[in-house]
Amino acid sequence: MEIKDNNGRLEVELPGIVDLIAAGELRDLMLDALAKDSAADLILRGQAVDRICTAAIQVILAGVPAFRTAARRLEIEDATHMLEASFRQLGLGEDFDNFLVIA
Amino acid sequence: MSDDLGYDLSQFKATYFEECAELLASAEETLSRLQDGSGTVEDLNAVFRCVHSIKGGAGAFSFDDLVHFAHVFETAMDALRSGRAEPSPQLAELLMRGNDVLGDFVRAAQEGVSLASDHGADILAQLAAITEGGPVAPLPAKAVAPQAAPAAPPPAVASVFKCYKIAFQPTLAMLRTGNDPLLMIRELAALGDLDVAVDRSRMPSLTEMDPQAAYLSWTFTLTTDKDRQAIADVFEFVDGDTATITIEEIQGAEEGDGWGLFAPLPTAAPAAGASQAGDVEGDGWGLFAPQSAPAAEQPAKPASVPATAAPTPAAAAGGQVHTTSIRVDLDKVDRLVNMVGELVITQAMLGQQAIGFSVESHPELIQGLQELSHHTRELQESVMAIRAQPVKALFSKAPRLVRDLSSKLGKQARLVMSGENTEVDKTVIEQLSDPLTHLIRNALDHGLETPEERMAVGKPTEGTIHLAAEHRSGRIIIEISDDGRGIDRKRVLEKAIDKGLVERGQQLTDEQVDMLIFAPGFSTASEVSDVSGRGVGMDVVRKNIQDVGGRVVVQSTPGAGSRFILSLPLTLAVMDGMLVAIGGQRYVLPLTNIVESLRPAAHQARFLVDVGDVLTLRGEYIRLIPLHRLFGIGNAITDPTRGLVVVVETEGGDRVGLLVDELLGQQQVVIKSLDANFRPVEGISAATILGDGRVALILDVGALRVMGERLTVHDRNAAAAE
Repeated sequence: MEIKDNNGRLEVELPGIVDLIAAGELRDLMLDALAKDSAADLILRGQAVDRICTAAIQVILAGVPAFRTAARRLEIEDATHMLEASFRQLGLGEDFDNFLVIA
Repeated sequence: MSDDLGYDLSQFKATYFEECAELLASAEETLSRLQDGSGTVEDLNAVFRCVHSIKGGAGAFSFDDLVHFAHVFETAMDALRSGRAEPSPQLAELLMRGNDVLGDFVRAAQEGVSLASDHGADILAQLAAITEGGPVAPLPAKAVAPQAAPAAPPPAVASVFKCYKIAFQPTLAMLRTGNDPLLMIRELAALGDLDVAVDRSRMPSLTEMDPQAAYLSWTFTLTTDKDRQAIADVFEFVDGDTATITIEEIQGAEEGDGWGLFAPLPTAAPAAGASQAGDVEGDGWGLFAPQSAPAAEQPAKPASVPATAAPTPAAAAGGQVHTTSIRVDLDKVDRLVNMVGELVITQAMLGQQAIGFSVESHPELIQGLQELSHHTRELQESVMAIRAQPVKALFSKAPRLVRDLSSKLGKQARLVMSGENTEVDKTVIEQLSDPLTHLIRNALDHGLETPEERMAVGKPTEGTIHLAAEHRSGRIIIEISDDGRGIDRKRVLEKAIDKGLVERGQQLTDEQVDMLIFAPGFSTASEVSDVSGRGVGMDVVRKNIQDVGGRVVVQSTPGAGSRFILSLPLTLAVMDGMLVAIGGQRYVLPLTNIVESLRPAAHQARFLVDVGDVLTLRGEYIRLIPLHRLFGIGNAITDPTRGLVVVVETEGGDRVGLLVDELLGQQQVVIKSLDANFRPVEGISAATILGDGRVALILDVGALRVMGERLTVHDRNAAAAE
């Protein structure tokens, strides 16, 4: 995973399997993005996600207030059904609806 | 529908008879409850439905004798549930006997034979008399145990759906153990309607968080027809270890509180209504069920039903009938199991090939292999779950067995069962049936005292037999215990000496004396009663259990009772093993037996007179077993301080240290029977094929312990001879 600058938007392409190791990488990337001298939002692109673990969802969950504090947004774009279902199954459907998805 | 129309009915008949077996077993279990007075009106309805379903199918295949008997039986059941006949112990016994005769007719139909024209005529006549409101005459041949008349059936029907509140709090370390709450929640959602409330109070900030720690915890509300054990099973691998789970049954799922789907049958249903309910059931033995029912017949689910975490497609479709299970031929499942076994071997081979590659040089290959390993394990577990069945099927015969036998023997016995929903491989269940029956007979016949004897020693006149099943360390443990007189060790030892099984003067521990009852030739037909002696001695019990990779241990306290512990593998196909090397040979040790491994310091490896080599570990002496000597392997490390000692635990709780050269690694192995492909070898439970195509033998820890003791005796005798 890496952060790409796409016309002023910072984007991270989530891999097919976002496992425990990827959760750690994701956190590091989020901290990198927050550390950048930028007002750009961070977009997690989720169209490839086949499987995501609870650890990675926790990282995304912790990222939302961190970006909000920096007056920026953390959003998920093009989430697969599996990605969305995983949030809902953990009881985080409202978080997914309110904070994460780009309409 | 007939053969004349060109249909091949054999497949349908096979399905019908399978269903009959289940229905008969279910009816027997339910009738047991009626017999002991704990039955409800719903139990009567359940038996009625079983009989009606059997009749319905029999009619389709023109099994006229079966239809006739089932019809009379069903009519008697209807009279009972509608209050036209009075429940009584005699009536309950009659129904039980009726179920037996019904089973006879089913078997006759299945085998294509005709029963005697008067078969079951006495039972049939009595059942017909019930319908007319006549009294039940005392039954011949089988005596009924004296017991209190059952209480009148309670007016309310017990609900099959229960509501549970489940609190699930993982420890911070849980995710690192490979357990993911998401998977458990999905499994939980599959049990019923699940409402999920997440607690994020432990969530730290992004900067403070450990990405591999579990911070979220949950409270679930689950409405399900499954029991508490099924819920506990979801958390089996984390409960008490890396998570705290509490399961609490709460009010809220009583029938009639808004679901409507399972409205209780009226307690005194008129005959017409009853047969209507039965008709629906009768058509439902699987083959001819309609794909969908008219919407009007499907009560709407009210809005108050809790939101589901994972709505099923059928639920989303809105009232469409959906089946929750399918019937699959066992051969097909076995083929699937075998293929998964081959896949596990192939995956191990690929892993072996990639040993020289690093993550840096071939990241995608390594990641791919890790994924393959993960998916293979998940696939293997899923396939094994298909073969798994609750031991309930096995336990359901026990109440009647205990009741009939205690009556016959003039003893008073109470059966307490627990863990009936513990699941185990179907083959293991089949193999367990005879041994379990024998052990229960044995407990009643030899274990429990007569009421007079019990009173004389200050025990309650009624003895207790406890039948329990549970999962422990990746195995299933079944315990049959009684509070009887215990094993008379003096008598056992005398008998063993008489039979030449033990030399006079030989010193044996209590445990060794107890285990003598399993020695071949210990039991003889002339010495066992017609109750516990049916040609199946305790040695055969042990052999049956060993045949499925299990072990039986007995623990007995004189005057207080005996406990037989059966330890069996959950599955016969795949296991987790530790590959060890001994002098260039490779063996597999079942991971579930391993406690720890270490290279002992010189002061830890000692020699004790009469015991041999031992390892002193935290104040405990552990017998060392040199595997190279047991198996005659050259070039092996013989000095424990240069090799490795793997401390293993047997089912009886004994620990021994196995001396090996080195540990080669942990892997999942496919179990190949040595008995079927070669011959039984002492100390070896099975074989497997390793990733490089070589065969490795799987060690039998319990047998190794016995072999180790024998080796010590041999060494001692040899030293004495010198």
